Amino acid sequence: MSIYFCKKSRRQFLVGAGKSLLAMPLLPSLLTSEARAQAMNVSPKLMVFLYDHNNPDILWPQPNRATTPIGNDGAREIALRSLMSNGVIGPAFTNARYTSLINNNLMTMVRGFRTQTYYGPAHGNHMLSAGAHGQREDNGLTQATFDTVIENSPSVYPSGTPLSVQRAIRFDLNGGYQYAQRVGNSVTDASRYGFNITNFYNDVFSSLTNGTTPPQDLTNQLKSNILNRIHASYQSTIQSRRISNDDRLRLTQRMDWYNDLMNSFGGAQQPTLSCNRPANPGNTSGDRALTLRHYLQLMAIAFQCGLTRMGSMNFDWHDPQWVPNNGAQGNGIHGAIHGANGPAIQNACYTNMWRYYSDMVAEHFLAPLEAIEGDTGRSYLDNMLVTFASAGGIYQPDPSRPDDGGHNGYDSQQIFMGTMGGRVRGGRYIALPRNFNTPVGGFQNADLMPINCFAITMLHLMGVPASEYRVHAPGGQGFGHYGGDLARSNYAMRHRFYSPITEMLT
Amino acid sequence: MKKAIYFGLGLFLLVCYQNCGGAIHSLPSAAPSVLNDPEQLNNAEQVAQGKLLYASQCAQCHGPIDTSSKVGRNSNQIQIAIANVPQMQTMNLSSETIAAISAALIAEADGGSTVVGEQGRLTYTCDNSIAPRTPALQLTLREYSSAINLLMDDVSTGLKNDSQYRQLVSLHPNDIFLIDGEKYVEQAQFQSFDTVLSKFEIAFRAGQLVGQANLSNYPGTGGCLGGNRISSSCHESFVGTLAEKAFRRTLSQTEINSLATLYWDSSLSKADQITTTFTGITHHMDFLYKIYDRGSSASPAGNLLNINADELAAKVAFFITGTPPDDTLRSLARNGQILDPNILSQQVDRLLGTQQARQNIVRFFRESLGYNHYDSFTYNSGYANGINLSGLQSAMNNEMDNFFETLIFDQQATFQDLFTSRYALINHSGLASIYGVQNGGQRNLSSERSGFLNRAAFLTKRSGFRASPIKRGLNVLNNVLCTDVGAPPPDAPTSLPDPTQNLISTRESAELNSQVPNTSCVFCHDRINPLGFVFENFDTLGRVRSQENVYDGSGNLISQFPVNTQGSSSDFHQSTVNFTNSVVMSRELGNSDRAMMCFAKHLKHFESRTIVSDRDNCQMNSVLETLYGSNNQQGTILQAIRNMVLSDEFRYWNLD
Repeated sequence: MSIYFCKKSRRQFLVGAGKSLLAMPLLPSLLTSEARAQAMNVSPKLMVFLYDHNNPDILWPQPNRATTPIGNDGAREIALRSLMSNGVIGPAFTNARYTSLINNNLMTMVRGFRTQTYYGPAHGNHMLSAGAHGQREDNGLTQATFDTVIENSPSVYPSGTPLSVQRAIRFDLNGGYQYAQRVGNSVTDASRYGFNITNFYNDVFSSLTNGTTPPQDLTNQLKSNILNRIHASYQSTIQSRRISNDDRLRLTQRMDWYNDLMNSFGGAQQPTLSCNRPANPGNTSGDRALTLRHYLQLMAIAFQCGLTRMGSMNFDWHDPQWVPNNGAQGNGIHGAIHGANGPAIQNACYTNMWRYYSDMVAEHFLAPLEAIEGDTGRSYLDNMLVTFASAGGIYQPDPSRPDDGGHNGYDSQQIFMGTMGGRVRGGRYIALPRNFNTPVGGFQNADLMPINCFAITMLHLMGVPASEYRVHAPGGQGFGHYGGDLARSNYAMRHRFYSPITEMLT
Repeated sequence: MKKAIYFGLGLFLLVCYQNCGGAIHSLPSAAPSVLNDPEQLNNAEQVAQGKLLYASQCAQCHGPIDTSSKVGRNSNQIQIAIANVPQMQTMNLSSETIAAISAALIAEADGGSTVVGEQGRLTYTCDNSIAPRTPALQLTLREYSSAINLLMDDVSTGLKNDSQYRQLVSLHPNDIFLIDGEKYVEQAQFQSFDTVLSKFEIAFRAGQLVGQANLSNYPGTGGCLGGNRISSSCHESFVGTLAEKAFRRTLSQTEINSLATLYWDSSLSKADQITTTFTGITHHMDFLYKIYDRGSSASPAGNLLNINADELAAKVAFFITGTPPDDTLRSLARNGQILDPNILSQQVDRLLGTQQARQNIVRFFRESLGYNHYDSFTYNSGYANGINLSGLQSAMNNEMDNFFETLIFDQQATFQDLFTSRYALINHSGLASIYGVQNGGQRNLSSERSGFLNRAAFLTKRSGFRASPIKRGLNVLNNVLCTDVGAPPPDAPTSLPDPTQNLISTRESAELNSQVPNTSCVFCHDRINPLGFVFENFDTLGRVRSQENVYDGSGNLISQFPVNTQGSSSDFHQSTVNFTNSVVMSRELGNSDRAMMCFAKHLKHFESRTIVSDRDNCQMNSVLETLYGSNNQQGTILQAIRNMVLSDEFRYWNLD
């Protein structure tokens, strides 16, 4: 039977044709260009999306899939794209933009951290919040967090940096004590933005004096948003239909074109950046979704216009009954995500949260950052790092309660988009060393990579020298503090303390 | 001069079969001797053996037989090719082997094997154990636009008149197009980035129009869409109504919930939310594709399914009217009554009485016969001699549209009627002049105009002063007889020599330049040219003539020749037929087995929107049986359409 369809997608064709046909005769000039792009002094930028609570194993690739050894401590890796099934890496990232990022080596997953670096549960142990649950130094004071370090770093913000530049933008709709940080010798709840987005707008964009741009035409953004959902509709049904393999191939190719279309609309919405002041979105009437959307869109502009280099957003992972499909849990949502209603509901709640947030980030934050940054030849996204930073682990001691019913921090996973200008090894799934040589107390004493190393890696990539954060650690060893079980002299990862995670870096 | 022409022809004949582009390697020195006594083989066995031989001897260069460009080749053509094509000169095939391969290629040109049936007429070989293939098909452009218009009509019947929307629809690539000048590719299976983009823009614009409209009376929503904001429950109601109509079936609440969740975005305005949902639903595979996979299993292996009531309703509606099922069909689908053959038959008759069915049948004939395609339509005013050329091309097309529509629906035409009727609706002064009748209204034309082949749209296949018997003949051979003689060599001349250089008639020139004995050209052109020579009593505008005028480049008459309309063909029946002119030939075609088989093939193609294969033979025979009729009385075209729908094969979904 004849099949009428091209074997390659338009994107694959363009990439293949561009690289193989055009690049070959122009190889010398291409190399020069790449070298120039790599050498350009692009300011590192970092956006961190935080979430606490644990993470059901069922949502993620399994570490045993990584088979290629890297480093000297037993870490292994595999191309992330090879772990995709039906074009996605898992139920949390069904947005086609992530598929595209993975295929273009702009997404990385690293699993195997230990987020409990001192005492207490992981709740609040995320990298930007230290105060709530005992991330203390020996003197009893809450330790510094790495965004605090960046905020105060003369390397990141040298003298002469305009006062209008926001050194660390924090955003949180959840209240509570999530941004507790050490300032001097006391602990304070760091200032961050909430529902009143006008405050954020005025602080960040008031320095832009060359007029207010007309309201943004969001047509392409809406199209991109729709295409992502269309892509998802095919993804969810294509395998379940009783159709021939030929038909399935045609439909798969159609999905690929939807992906291409989505990207074209995502890229097209970015004209030559004028850095005119964007329109003030105004009062969002307490609408969480709308507020998140505006905040993400404005943050993307802030990064593009050099109005900040560090941003963070604390996702509502605590009472997310307002997230689509979680409404049935009502006020019992917190118990549900801790397994009170069984693992099926628990997994569903997590999946709903992940999809909602990852979609939101993809459409409203990552999409505009796919525009090319200046003459670097790389996108803004490629030149920075966007992180889904988890405080919780994936360790599951009780299968009936996939997140341990609490907040353990074992086998935690961090996810990145971008490569910080090629300095992060993109497109990988990395399983960090999983050393169980000293299983005192079982997995909870497994000698995993401390989360402090992750924080140090972020600082390293942001260009913060160790000299700027030693002050916060006892003995001057480096950022953070390793107390409790980690203080054991035979802790297997002890030699990795105070160092960036080289397995992640180029 | 003639020597030069012969030399040039000889050169291109040498490359006539050089399509494979490289030398043939590892060919066996002789064919396997599977045909010990070919005389004993009946036609079906010979075709079967021929397919095996084709696979071993020919497929390496020419590809599988069902996609080969050499289908329809006869033994003489193959022998000439072996003698002349360098890559084939090493082949050592017996005459029996060549005959078998030819039988297979000719059978393939017929859409599969043919056999002589009980009435002594040709039919397709039918194996009831093999179900037709039923791939997932995209809606045709007509089906797509009517389907999306219906969804917009639920909001306001004026939305589809939006100029931007109409422009986007008009810019959508055609349903059917040619590749390499010889193969029709169905958009129903072909997809490209451009078509995906085009459909997205159309749906998005439609979604915007719906999103901006007053939705307070939208069915199934209880007026909840009347406000400035939209709640998730209201959105779910909207999805339920929209998706059931769009998907042409009843949806479970779980499905509705799932769709509502997929497209719900609380951060969007009401208009953007509606736009998002409408665009999304109209991109769902259940809207864009005809996939009939929800029925029960019809085979132990589970690869064959009975289509269910919803699917049957949709399939019938799309086939007959080119539109989604209407409310009556959907109602009969919901209660399952459509599965009753009697009810189905009644519904087929009802649908055939609709205006959409009349429009659809016109589309069928345009697609099948290609009368609306012209090389160009440019004539010297002096040559036109007062004929009003303005709008003439459209008038010719419209005449044929009305001819087929009127004959099929109002006159209950048989196949023969299409080739003999003198009915015409004339609404153009130029066309009236060509036919020599008064303009305006229905006319009974002169006998020279009997049947559709003698009408201007079919005769005007080339502009200028000189008619092309080759193009006219090829049109009959390809479209009326479904005989594919393959594409000419790439360097073959595209026109006959300048008539002012050799003062001979067009017919003589065609014979001299394409029917030279012992060349490979002759074996195609012997079949093509006579079918065009019969129209030599019509000039390039379709005017009757008794002599052919030869003009110079400035339009000056320099010579005249009497026309010769004699012809013969072996492609109509199982024996050669002679005819004195196009009226006689047309009458013969109206009773030709192969012409009716071709019509059945066109109809099956129109229904399935895929390349017809021998798996479709049984269903095509159900059409043929009607067309042949009984007691020398043919069945009507409408009866043939009805029998296609009522055939068992119409109700299968085949995963193979």
